[in-house]
Amino acid sequence: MSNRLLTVEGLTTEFRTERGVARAVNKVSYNVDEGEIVGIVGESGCGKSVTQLSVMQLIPNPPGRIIAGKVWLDGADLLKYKRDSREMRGVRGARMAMVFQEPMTSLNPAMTIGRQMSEVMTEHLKISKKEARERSIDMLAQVNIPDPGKRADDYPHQMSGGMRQRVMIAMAMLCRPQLIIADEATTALDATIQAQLLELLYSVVEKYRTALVMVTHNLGIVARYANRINVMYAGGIIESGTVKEIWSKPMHPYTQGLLRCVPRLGEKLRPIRGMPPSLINRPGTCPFLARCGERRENCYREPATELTHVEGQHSTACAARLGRW
Amino acid sequence: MDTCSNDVTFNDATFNDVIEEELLPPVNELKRFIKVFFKRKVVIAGFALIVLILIVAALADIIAPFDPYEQDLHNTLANPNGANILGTDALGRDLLSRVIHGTRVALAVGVSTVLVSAAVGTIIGLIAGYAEGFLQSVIMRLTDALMAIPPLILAIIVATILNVGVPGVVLAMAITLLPGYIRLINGQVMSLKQNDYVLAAETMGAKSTRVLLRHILPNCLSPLIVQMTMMMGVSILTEASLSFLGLGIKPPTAAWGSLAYDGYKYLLTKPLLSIVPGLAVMALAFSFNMVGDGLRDALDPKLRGTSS
Amino acid sequence: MVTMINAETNAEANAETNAEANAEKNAETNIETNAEKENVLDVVDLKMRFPVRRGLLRRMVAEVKAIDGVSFSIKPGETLGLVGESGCGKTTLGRCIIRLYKPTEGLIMFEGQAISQRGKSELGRFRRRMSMVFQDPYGSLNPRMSSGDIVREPLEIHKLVDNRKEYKERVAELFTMVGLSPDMMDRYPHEFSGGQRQRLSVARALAGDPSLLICDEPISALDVSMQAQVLNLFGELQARKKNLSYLFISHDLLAVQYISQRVAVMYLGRIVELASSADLYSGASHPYSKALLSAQPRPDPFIEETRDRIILEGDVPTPLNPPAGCSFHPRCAYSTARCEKETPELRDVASGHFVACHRV
Repeated sequence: MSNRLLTVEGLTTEFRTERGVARAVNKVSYNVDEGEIVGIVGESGCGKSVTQLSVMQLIPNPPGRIIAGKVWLDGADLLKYKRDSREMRGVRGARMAMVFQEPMTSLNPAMTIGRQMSEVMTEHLKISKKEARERSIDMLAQVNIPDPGKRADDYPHQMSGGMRQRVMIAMAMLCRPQLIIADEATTALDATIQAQLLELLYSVVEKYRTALVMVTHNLGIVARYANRINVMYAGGIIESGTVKEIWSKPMHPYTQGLLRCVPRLGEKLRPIRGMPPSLINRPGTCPFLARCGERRENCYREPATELTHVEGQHSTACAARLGRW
Repeated sequence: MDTCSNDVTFNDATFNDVIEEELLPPVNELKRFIKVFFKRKVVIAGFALIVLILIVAALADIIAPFDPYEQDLHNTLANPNGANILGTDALGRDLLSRVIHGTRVALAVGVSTVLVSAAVGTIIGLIAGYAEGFLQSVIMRLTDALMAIPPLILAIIVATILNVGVPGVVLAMAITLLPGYIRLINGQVMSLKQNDYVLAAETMGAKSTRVLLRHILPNCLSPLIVQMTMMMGVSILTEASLSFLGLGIKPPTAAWGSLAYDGYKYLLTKPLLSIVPGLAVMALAFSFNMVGDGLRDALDPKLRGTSS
Repeated sequence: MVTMINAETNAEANAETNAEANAEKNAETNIETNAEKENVLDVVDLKMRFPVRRGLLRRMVAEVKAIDGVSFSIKPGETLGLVGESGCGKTTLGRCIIRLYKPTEGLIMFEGQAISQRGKSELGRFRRRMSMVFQDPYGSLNPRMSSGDIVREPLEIHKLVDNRKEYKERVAELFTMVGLSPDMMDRYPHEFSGGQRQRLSVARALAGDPSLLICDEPISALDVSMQAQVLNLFGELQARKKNLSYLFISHDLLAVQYISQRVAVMYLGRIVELASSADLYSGASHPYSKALLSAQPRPDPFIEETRDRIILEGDVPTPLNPPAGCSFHPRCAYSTARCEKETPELRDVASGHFVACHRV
């Protein structure tokens, strides 16, 4: 029985826009156990990235604001800390780290990667510069960067995209965090490089028993690596369960639609009609209502159902499927 | 529409299923523009000042208490008083009336300079950016050469050679402003050319003129408008400098620069004579720069179609 | 002055047509021997090199071999998928075929005519019969034109209709054809979602009644559910217009498999494998195709549970300085001394299954 590492409860984040307040994350609750790999899937604008940025307290404020919810990391209530407080900075990078899609924007172009890595460590850990450099080079070696001693003196622009993303993984792992959040970390890379990196990330988190949250729109990636997945739609988690539960018995019509959108030879695609709803002035009914092929009369009348447990680890937010009406 | 006999995978039933009526909620571009534009107080101030000056220029004949050219040799260099609010000049002409009429000259010269230079500069810039290669190199090196000459000196030289009054001043100043437009448009064209919609037009067989006029030019307009507004301020300043040096608008026409020059001889005794026209130049140039700044924010293509 | 320029361009054009006539003759014999004259597109030994210029004098210091001898053909009504990673030359190939670029060498035969070396002004009719759908649904539509005007543009350029009413009818028809409501004609691109914009792009591409659509990553910028919608649209359009062919360029193997009858795999400017969709996915022969197929995770945990992956080492080499011999040999697990010296030719190994590998 593994221990609970991260608990997110009722997390709600809003953005002020000109048209009104957009609720990008709506009462999201989920958890991650130690050493577990959790996939968060959904289409663009569903709030999957904003949720993770909220957990890390990296939401630009203004216009964004976390208006409700709780985030516990290993017993510590993270939202009690101010965004830029010393405590929060101690958590970020040291206890949970994030790997973003575009490594070029996360790396300082004017600093060698070795120095950038050492700085992360000297900030969080009490170690000497020399030791920090040694550990950086060791970490670079662990992410299969050839000749790491030499590459540590390279600037980011001297490396290929795949190589830079390896550096990002190495940097995330430096302080041996308990949780890594990979936000579309391999999306921008070519298929064969993507495969290299995913295998690498997988082996690294396995080795150190680091928990991993994979945010992606690629169902293939979560199918291969994740233990459990959360499907997000219009700012909320609408279905959650182990990968096998979701694939063998998808319950929410959106999840079913999403799985049918994947091209398979000899099978006709059945795309989901229409497009996701606006996040401003949400009506309070099920957000998938307009596109749902199985809506009932009650769906129009009743407020949206919360994520409800079904069996095993499986829960869904579809009232019709839960047998409520 | 013919019905499709190939029912292996696709048929009309699924087809009609997909027809979409929904659009993204419309964004009111004008509303957004106004909101962003009037966000900063200095921009509002600049805009208000320009509107005020435009009104003054339009109604100069009504507002001005005296004829700006009427001399009164019994009442020269008068201090401000009930009749002559700002006093009179060495020939007894009412300073306030002359400054008020000066707005017309300033605006007329500014607008025509900006229009001439923008039109010519845009055409040259479009050609340079679209042609690339040798022609572009030649045009751009010439532009660089033109830029290397201090604008005021260039304007003085051209104005002296032409020596034909207002049109000469306009032309001289337009030449000094040209490089700015050429470089701006050249850069715009170079980057817009990489856009897929330009490539798409080429794959359709669109002629160069069509690509330039329908696809590239309309997308250059925002930065062009900003540049033109900014250059209004610059040309008003340059015109004043030229007139101050006696090369611009010739007396007795009431131009702010020449007013300042006339008053400059009495700077220690009657400072208002040169300070008031100087302030007018400053205020107008400043207003145009502020409005240009506001336009730059409001026309930022990154904000188009967004709501924040 | 004017006449002089005309004379010059004419001379140039003549020279070109002569060269082309020769090339055409050669190609014709080729094609006739293969008895494939009815193809909508034939590409024969196409090469595209980009000079790399440096310094003040813009001297050529190197050459990028973006496409290095590619041959294939597309039949009417057929979809040929073209897959490969970034830098393999698939986009350049598409742009050469639609003649955004003039290929350095080789022949492009479209609807029985050689178009590889024609000048801009001589491409007239063919510009209507071949069109392109681009990747970026935001960049491929002019933000200052209404959606109706965008779709109308090809009609205008080729003067396909006479009056306003006809224009409107044709545009409305095209809107309906791609599943958009004609009421949206006056709206601007930024009011459309990504998927809808891509539909607009398809409507524009269809306006000239083309026989070949070059789709350059048309779905990669879209969300999963939008991808499915647009993929289906392509299928539906082909079902209605029997002779519409696609060259479907993508890095998404699953989508390519779904939409194409045949698939070509490109690596560093060359086709390394070309086979029917089913053959390729069930029995890829080239080590690179195998690795590429293997790299794509299947969206199914029950398959992924047992599936082994081939993980390629190293990065894709730059086309500026491709490895000698088989360009894949530095990353290939089976490479031999021969692979380092000799470039393998694309050979037919089983009826219609072409592979460029010494081992096969």
